[in-house]
Amino acid sequence: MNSRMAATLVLLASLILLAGWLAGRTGSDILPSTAYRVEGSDFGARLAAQGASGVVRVPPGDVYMTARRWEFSPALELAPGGAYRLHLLSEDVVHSAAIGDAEVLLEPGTVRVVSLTAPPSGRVRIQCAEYCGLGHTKMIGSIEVVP
Amino acid sequence: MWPHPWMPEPLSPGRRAELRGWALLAVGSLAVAGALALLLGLSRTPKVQDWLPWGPHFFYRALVTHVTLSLTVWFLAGLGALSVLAATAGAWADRLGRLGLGLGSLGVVILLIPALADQGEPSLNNYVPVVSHPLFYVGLGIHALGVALACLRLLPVLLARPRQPVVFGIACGGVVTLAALACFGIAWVLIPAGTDPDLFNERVFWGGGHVLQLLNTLILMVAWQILCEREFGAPPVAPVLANACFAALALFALASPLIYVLGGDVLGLAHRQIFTRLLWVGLPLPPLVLGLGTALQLARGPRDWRSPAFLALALSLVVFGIGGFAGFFLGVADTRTPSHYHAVIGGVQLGLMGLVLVVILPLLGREAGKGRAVPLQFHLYGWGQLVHALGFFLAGAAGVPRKTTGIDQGLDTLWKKVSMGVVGMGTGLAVLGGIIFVWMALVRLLGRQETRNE
Repeated sequence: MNSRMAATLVLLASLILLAGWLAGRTGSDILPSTAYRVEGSDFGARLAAQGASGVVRVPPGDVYMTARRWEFSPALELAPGGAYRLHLLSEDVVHSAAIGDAEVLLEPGTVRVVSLTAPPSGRVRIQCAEYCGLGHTKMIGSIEVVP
Repeated sequence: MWPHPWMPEPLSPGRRAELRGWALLAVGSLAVAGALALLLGLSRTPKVQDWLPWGPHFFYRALVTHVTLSLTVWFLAGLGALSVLAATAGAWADRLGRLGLGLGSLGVVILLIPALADQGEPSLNNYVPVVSHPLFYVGLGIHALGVALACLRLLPVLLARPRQPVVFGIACGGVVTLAALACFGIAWVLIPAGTDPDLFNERVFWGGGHVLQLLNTLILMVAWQILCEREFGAPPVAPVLANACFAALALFALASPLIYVLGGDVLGLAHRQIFTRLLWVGLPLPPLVLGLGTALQLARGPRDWRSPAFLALALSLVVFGIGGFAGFFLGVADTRTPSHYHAVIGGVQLGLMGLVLVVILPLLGREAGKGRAVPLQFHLYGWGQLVHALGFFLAGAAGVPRKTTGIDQGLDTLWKKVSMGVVGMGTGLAVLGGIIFVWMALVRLLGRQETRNE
């Protein structure tokens, strides 16, 4: 291959990549979720009924968790293989919840609901991936799977 | 036939003074960044910290200012120096350059004030961390304006469609910089008033910060082009192919401001992720092509392990290549991310160091000499960055979170402790190499001119 052809190929490949980049602005790295607006007190009541602090063991179904600088609360214990609907609400500023390789943005006042199937054992990693202040990298939640 | 290796035109006294100014700004910023790093260490040393006149937030302010000087200013001022070598001759270009240098330097002085006066909230947002104080933003803005003026004079160079890859590459660097600055400006305008300061800083510098990574890569590619020609008398690849690589990076940079129209809400998740993907789709191919050409030249030899051009080429290629490869294995927020960016940025640093010692100092009549210090500096910095990145990668794979210190790192296994120990060892080596480089370059830049270079 001569150098002129190689140069053409580089430019052509770049143009294709550029078009793909501009066209593919959403991706699989966004966690599928539904949303609803809520007053903080309403969410607080549901959270209190479930258990708002410490380590809370929850049965499959709806489960509630808040995000605030720089923690997810409460710590959860899930049943192995259980199907959960995780309701997430930010109490202060914009955070995100990164679960596995995908994430969802958490804006104050809007609850994001994501589906979650607990693995047979171990823990589900949840952490903030939207910069939210000096303690951002410490904002890691605890979701353990306990038989 | 390939054109002759690039040799810069003899510099007029005005251009020579401007080149020296940009070089002093670049290397001087590294020196101040180093001094801040020392103060960072002292501010966390028991007993010693009680004697310092700064409050508990000084650590983060100094960290932010250190990063701004050692990355943003060092690279942008480095581009300013390269712009002197590629800009078309003419009084207006000289005036733009001098004004740009003046503003670029003034901006750096202003942005230092909040850290030294212990003012403003530090923000460790990605790419361009800031101290949330008006003087810091004003300083950063004035510095950027200065660099933008120096880049503006490169646009007519592009219109002349130069065949010489070094000139074309530097001119593309100007385009990439202007595109990055446009992204910063558009984001600033689009982000609603009243947005939380941390989110504001993150999103203002997010898009343009990604585009600046294209610039950093392009600077390294220009370094490979020049140093290959100097060391081997031949370029890494044919000029037409090198120009295609430079143009490909500029193409992605030029398209980046469109994302603020196409990419949804500037505060949304899709907007953030589309810029993340820019580095996946837009960045790898051009340095891969030019890097392979450089590797072939290095393999053909001759291999002179005392030559600064050879060492800058070989070490920058290895460190950048490994860092780039590590980029495909990142976690969400563990130390594999700093492993990747420390290595790729370390590679760019090595390339720019090579340009300063092999090209810029001699152009100013200030040779780096053939003593042991030059090879020692490259070995210490290059291998130090590699060891540092390796340690971070191993620690991150074991789950150590990034941007944490002390107990927050959760070093609860021997593997994590050893990995972070390796990080510290690499840091020590790289810092020593950096100090030698800054010392060598500053002494020569500040000293009396040694030889005429007509």
